[in-house]
Amino acid sequence: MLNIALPKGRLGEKVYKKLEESGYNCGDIYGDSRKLIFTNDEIGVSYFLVKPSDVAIYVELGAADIGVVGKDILLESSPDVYELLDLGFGKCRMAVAAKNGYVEDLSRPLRIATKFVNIAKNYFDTKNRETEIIKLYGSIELAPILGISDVIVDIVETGTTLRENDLSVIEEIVPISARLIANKSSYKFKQSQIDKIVEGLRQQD
Amino acid sequence: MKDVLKYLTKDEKVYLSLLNLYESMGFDKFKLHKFEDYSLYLKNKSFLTGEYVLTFTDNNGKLLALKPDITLSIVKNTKATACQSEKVYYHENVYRFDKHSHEYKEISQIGLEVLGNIDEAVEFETVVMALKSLEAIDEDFVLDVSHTAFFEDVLLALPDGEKFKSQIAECIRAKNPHDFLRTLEEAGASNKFAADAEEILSFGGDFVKTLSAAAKLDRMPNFSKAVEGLQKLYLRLCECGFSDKLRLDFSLLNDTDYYNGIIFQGYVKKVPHSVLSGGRYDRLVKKLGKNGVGGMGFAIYLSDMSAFYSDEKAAKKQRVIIYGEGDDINAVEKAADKLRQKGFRVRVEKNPPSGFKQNEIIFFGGELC
Repeated sequence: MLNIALPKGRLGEKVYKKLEESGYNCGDIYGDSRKLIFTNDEIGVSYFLVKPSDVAIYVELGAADIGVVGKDILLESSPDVYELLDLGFGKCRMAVAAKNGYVEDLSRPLRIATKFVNIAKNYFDTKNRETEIIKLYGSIELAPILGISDVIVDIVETGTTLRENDLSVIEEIVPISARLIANKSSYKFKQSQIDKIVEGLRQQD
Repeated sequence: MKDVLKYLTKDEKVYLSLLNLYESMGFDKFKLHKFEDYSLYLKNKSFLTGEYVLTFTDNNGKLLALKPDITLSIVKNTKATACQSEKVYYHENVYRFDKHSHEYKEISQIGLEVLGNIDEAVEFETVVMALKSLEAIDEDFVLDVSHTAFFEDVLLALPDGEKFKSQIAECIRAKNPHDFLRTLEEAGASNKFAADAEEILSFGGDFVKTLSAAAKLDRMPNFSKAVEGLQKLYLRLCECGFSDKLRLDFSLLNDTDYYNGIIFQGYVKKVPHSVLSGGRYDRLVKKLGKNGVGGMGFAIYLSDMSAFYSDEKAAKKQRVIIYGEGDDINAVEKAADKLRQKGFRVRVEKNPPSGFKQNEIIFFGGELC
């Protein structure tokens, strides 16, 4: 049995459609039901629907053999997993944004508001810039408007939220997309099954 | 003695098997002090699995640490020379920060180290011992083998290799072909070189296929030599009957400031992470001031093994005898002994304790007594 962790929501639905087309069907798993585990014994596959940020944990701890997760989560939590395929969708970018007209004051530490503390810290460490990081859980764009930070580090998809709040991207950190990950131990013992799934998804690109 | 084995947990059973294996191979037990100078870890931070170390100050104001690693202490204390080798094994606890629970964990670890002249025979013996150690844990096991020369030669072959060192290492460890290709190209690799290197990374697994893919890479002299060595080692290990347990996977990469040469990691099917990790670490030995001495070894993590083998635990054959006021205590003990001789674990209590089923509770004077 191959256990697959998929994120709840649009991204997971899109991946599941691709997996379905590759022959890993398990019924209407993204329907109205509140069920979280779906199994198809005939083809030997079981899907778990989990919170997107938890997919990497399920895979790293071996509850799931493979999973689909955004590169942002991989960069933030650095799980010890294999990252086998860039699925090429859910594309966006991790970026530094500030209020329009912002001028950096180099005489003091840079104040950064973000959900992605590790990504922000690693990025500014490479620039040897002293920082003060403020961890927020949502509506990050408010932080520079209300003056609690100079800049924000966040995911930018279309840039509409930034524009509507008089902010703009000042630096791009890294492009983001959905990735197929695998538990390292599972990969040793189920390599042919996992490689088959990777190949099936790759062919649909 | 045989009766006692049924009470042992999986990690205790594995420990006894490995003790027997290492002693039979002529390795000496190495017992370490519980604490170590913190400075040893401060100077060798990147050799450690995590960056956090539990420290405290002793009565003389000296900063000590609860050991996060054993190899460093053994190498620091070794008297081995290029002509006089030391072969030791240890069973110790290490203390590491766990990123999932955000707490320090005490981890039981058993391992062995060979210090001195490390030649082909020592490499072969160490890998065989790693394989036999895994076999003692579970017959469903594999050993991933790799070599540091892959990463080192990739860096050397790139015009901008050093600049992209950490990104390339991350891509290799994650077996991440897409970002690996992108990073190699950014670092100035030709399309052919990047494609060949990526093929080796993706192939990982099948020893023979990966070796033949590896042989294609040019401009990598150290790696070509390493591939020859791996081929020889593979043939020798096949003669010992381990061919289906070996995988060649160059995504396995340890810190090349300390490790040089062959590295390996062992997995058993029931445990979702590696249970054995080791390799050749002459550079670590040199860093600690022992010139001309080589080192090789591995560690096995015993701590959480029992959790993954709970199905192997035999159901407890147990009884509890409940005595009352005025019961003859000698007679109660005799009744208990009688049951113990029949193979039961028997507890004597005044009141029924929790955790016992109805049919396991005997009131003294009842039928069974």
